[in-house]
Amino acid sequence: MESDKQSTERQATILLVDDESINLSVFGQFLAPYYQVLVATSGQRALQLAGGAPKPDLILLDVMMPDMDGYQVIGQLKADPKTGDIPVIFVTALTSDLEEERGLSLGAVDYLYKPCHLSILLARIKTQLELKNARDWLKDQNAYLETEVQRRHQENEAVHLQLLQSEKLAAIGQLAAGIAHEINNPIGFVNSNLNTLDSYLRDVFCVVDASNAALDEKPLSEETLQSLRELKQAKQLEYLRNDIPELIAESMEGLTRVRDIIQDLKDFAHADKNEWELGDLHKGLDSTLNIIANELKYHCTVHKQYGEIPQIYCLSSQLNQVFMNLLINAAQSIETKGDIHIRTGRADQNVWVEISDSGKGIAPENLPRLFEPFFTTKPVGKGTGLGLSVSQNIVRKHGGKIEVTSQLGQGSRFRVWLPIRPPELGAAE
Amino acid sequence: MNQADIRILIVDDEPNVLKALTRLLKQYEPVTAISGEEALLLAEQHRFDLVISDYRMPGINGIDFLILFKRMQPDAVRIVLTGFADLEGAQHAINEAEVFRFINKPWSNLEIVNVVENGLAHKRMLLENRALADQVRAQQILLNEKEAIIKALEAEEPGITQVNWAQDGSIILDDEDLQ
Repeated sequence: MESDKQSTERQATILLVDDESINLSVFGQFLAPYYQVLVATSGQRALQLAGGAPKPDLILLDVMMPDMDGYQVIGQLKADPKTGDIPVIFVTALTSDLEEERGLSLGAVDYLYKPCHLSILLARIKTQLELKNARDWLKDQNAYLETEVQRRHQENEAVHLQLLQSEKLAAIGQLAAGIAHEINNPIGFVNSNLNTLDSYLRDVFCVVDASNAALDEKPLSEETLQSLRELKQAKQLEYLRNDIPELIAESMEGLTRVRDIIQDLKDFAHADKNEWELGDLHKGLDSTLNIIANELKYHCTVHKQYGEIPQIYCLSSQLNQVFMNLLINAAQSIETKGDIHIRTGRADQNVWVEISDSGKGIAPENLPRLFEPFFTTKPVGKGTGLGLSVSQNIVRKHGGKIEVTSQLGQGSRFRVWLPIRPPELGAAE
Repeated sequence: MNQADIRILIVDDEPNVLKALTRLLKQYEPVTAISGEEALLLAEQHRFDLVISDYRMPGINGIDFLILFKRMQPDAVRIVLTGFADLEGAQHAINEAEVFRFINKPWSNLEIVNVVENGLAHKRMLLENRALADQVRAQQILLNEKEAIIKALEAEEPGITQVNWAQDGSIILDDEDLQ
């Protein structure tokens, strides 16, 4: 026993409660070598000690006591969350099954009869303490596991957001060539026009300078006048007068187009704008169409049939990502020339956005795997295989769903259903 | 090919690009088309010395247009002007359409003017080269005919092509002729 005592990291504390001091001293003396022993001669005192420090690991409680009996004491111990987890062993002279049953029903872990064999007492105490240690360990372990689960959940959430962002950037990367084309066109003609304007202005000022020189000449000779007329003719001043406003208007339009593309890209790529807000789905569809115009306009005709839909609470930048994935899929499924229809509408408390194409359709054996991450039938470099999986996650987060119907050789139809107000909006981040 | 009757065709699906290039090449009064299809129709009716085409266009793309155009007017200089071309497209352009130059958008005015002038000069040289070669061939034929006559005469009257004529038309006889 001596070695056991040494090996326990902390000496357990045992509270003895008995109104007879002779019992206390017998037990106390016997237990003292093994445990730290606290004693109380009344229920009140016992409650005080149980709530204080050091907190007892086990209470040996007499049942028959004046003022407050053992049943009352255990009742109060159990009622207090601070002391409720201390195991209690009743030690009593009452020998009746009924009493024992009552004691155990009140939360006692064991029941001993006086007088009792001290080594039995010690064994019972040891068992209870071991049990308590095991319980405490389990409780700690549970708490640890709970925080771990919480942490992993947060980590998961962060990785998910990162995935969304990566998928979006990957998609933009694949669009980069098209976007470059879309931007280089206006930059090309604006730049060219400015250079032309430069030479126009040199011609204009050449005529102005000649006119000024003529004005200084007194009297103005007919020859000077004639050469001035010829200069004006040669520099095509009348043509410039008409062409310059056109040149400027076209250039301004070009710059507006570049500005709009950049703005759409910015709106689209924005990661930090992850807030639930009232969003206009039609606006989102239009700006997404602008970004991917270059992937569509050469071989697809886009037909828009927007219905009357209210604004909905959503993460609009994430929904644009969904629309982009669906539109690009539609465009890529069309091999030569075809149509893409975008329809919207409302049904009850939901709105829907439908994107259908006249492309090659999806093989029936591929339909069940459509939303699997990394599943793709596209050639290398044309898709990450994450588009639909990410889209489905986004739509689910909105409390919606994606319906697919497809016919090989006829085309596919994707319909995104979204509640006007997502049910778990309060809980959503 | 005089400066005055040089004909240039520009093809791009973007009207503002067409206008900017028309301004730039005003002296040639270029003809424009907003698609490859329209440009092919124009090519059926008119001769062009040089054509500048965008690559990515709705309908047939610029390279496919140039391949068809090349069959109709093989002597015209072909130039591609593009905001983006993949390797495959570029290979196709060089191998099949035999383009003279590839110009990137956004372009520089100076570059376009230079390429157009060089292209036209190149074409002029090719044509001149061809004309000269034709001339050489024609003269060679003439030469061959004359040579055949001389040979026939020589066979009939040996030494007849070796006669020494004096300024006044008299025949100079060497001493050895008299022996």
